Amino acid sequence: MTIRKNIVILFITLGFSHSAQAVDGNAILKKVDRNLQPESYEMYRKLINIEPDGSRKEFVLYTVKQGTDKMLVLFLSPASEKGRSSLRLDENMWLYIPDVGKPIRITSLQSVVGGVFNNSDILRLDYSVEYDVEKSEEHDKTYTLHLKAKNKAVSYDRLKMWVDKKALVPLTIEAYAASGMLIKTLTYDKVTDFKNRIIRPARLVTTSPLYKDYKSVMLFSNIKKRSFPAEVFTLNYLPRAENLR
Amino acid sequence: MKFFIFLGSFLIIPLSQPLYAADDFSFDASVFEKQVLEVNGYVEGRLEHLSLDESAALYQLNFHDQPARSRLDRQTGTVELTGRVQQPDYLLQFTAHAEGQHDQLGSGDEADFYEAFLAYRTAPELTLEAGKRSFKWGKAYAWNLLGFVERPKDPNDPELSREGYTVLSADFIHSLDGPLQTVAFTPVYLPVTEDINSEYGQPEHNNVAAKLYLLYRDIDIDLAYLSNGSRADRIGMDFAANLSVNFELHGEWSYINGYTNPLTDASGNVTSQQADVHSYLLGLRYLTANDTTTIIEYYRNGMGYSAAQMSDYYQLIHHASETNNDSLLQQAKSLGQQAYTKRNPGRQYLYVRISNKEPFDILYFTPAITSIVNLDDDSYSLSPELLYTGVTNMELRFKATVLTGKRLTEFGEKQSDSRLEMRLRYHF
Repeated sequence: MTIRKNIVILFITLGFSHSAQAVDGNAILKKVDRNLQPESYEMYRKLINIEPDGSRKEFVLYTVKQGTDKMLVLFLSPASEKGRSSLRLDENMWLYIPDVGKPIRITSLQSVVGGVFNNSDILRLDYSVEYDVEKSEEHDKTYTLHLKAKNKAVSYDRLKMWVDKKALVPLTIEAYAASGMLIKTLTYDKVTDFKNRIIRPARLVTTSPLYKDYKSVMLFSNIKKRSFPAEVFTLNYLPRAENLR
Repeated sequence: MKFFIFLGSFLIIPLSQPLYAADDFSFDASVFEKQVLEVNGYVEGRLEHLSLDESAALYQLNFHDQPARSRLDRQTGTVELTGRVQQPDYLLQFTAHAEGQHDQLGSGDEADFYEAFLAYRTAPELTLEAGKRSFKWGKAYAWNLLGFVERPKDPNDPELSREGYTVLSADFIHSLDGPLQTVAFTPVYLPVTEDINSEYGQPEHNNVAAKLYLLYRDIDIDLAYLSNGSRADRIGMDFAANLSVNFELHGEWSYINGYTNPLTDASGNVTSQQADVHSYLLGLRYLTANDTTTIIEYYRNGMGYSAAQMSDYYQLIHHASETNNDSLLQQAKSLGQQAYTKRNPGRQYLYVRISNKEPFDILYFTPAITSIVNLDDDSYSLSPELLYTGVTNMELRFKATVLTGKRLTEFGEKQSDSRLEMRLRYHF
C-alpha cells in the first residue's frame, strides 16, 4: 500500500515538474513585454488617484522609451505639474521641475505624484529587463510567473504575475517586498486594439494594503512605435522634452 | 485691494470642484495635443507675521528712522505667467512675474520678465538661444556655488523662481556608448552695460561663461568657467551620484581669482580684502522606507566673514545706533548691501531638511523641518512647515521660522526673532 502510494506521488510530482519545465517563463515574459508595448515607443497615460470618499486627482503623462533602459516622462496635466519631466537611464533617475530649473537625482522608491504610484511604476522598464522568472506554472487559461528582481535597485523584490495564455498579456500582478509583505496588487483589463498590431489592456488598476481604500488607475492611449536619438535621454534635453511631441 | 479680490477669486474656484463617480474612467489623449501657443502660471497669496527684535543690529539698521514696533504683518500677492509659442524648430518663451506687497511700513509692487527668449532647435543635439534666460547650474539644494550666470538662491526657499540675465547661449549634446555616456557643452555670452544686465556686476564688460556636463558611469559631473570681467574670473566643478537606491551624494567646488570684499572694524574703519578663494559644499539626500527624505549640506564659503568679523560689523551698527550717528548707519547699510547682509555672509554653514511624505496615510500632505546653522557662531534658524497639495492645482503651505543666537551672531542679530507664513498658490 505504502509503495503504491509513493509511486503515485512520484508520478504526480514528475507530471507537475514536466509541466513546469515545458513552460519557458522567461520567453513568456519577453512576449508579455512586447505585447504591452514596442521596445521603443511613445504613449500617453492618465494616472488617477482615488481616495476613499471618491475624490480623485488626475495626472496626464507623455512617455517615450528607447531600447531597454532609456525612458523619459513629461507631465502634461494638471497645471501645477505641467513641464515636470523625469528621466531614467538604466538605474539612474532624475526629476526636472521647471521652477527649480535643474534636474535632481531621485530614487525609484520616491513618489512624484503621491498616492500608490512611485517613480518606478511611472518609469517602468520591461519586466524582463528588471526581473528573472524563477518559476512558472501552466493552468487552463493562464500562466503564473514567479519573478525575482535582478538587483536591489528594482522597487519590488518579487512579483507574482498571472498571464492570459491566449493573449499573452498580464491579468494580475502581486508585488512583494523582500520581507515577503504584499505591497501592491495590479490588475490589467479592457483589452484594446491600439493599431499597428498593438493589442493590450488599456487600463491598470492598482491597490495597496498600505493605502487601504485608496485606488490608483492608469489609462493608456496612443501607444505608437517610435525611435528617438540618444541625445533625447540626457539631462540637458529634459527642459525641452515638450519638443518631442 | 482689487488685486487681492482678483487673487481670491482664483483661489476659491478649485475648492468647489465636483467629486467624481469612482468608475468614471475616460481618457481622450487628443485633448492634450501640443498647442502652438500655451500659457500657464500661478497666482499666490502670502500672509506673513514677523516678531521684530528691537535690540537686534539689523532691526536698528533697517528701522532706525521708523517709530519703534514689535511686529510686522505683511500681505503679498504674486502672479507669474509663462507663455510659449512653439514651432518645430523655434520656441519663443517668456515668464512674467508681478508682485504687490503691503505692510505697516507701506505698499509697493514690482513687475518684470524673469525670462523672455527665442530658441532655435533643429535637432536634440543643438540649441541656440537669445534673450533673457534663467540658468540654474550646480547640484546643491540650498546654495549654488556654480551659479556663475544666475542670481543667488534663497536657502530659506531654494525652489523659488529667479530672474534671469540677457544672454546668447548654446547647448550641444552628444551621447556615447561606453562608460562616458553623455557630453554636453553650454557656452554663455553675458554682456553688461549701463542698460543691460546692470545688476550682474561692473558695467562695460563682455562676460563669457561655459559649462561642460559629463555623465560618466553613474556620476553626473559639471565643469564650469567664468571669464574675468564684471565679476572676478572663476572655475568650478560639481558631481552627483546615487550610492544606493535611496542615498544620493553631491558636491560643489569653486575657485575665484582675486575676490574682493570690504572689511570693517567695530569703529567703521573700512579696508578692502582681496584673496583667491575656494568654496566647497558636500551634501547628501537620504530616503527611508517610510518616505522620510533627509537633505544635509555642509557649505564652506570662501568669500565669507569669520564670526569675529561679523561681530565687528554688528558692533558698528549698535554703536552707530546708540550714538544716533546717521552717517555711520548709512555706511553700515552700504556695507551690508555690498556684503555683510547678503544671504549667508558667514564662512561655514550646515543645512538640514527632513521631510516626510504622506505620514499617517494622509495623501498629498508633507510636513518638513529645516534648519540652517552658522557653524562659526552657533546661531541658527529652525523652520517647521506643513504642505498640502490635495486639491488639484492648489498648494497650501504653513511655515514658521525661529531665529536663535546670542548677541553679535548672524541669526541673533536678524531683524526678527520669528516669522509665521501662510502661502496659498493656485496653478492654472
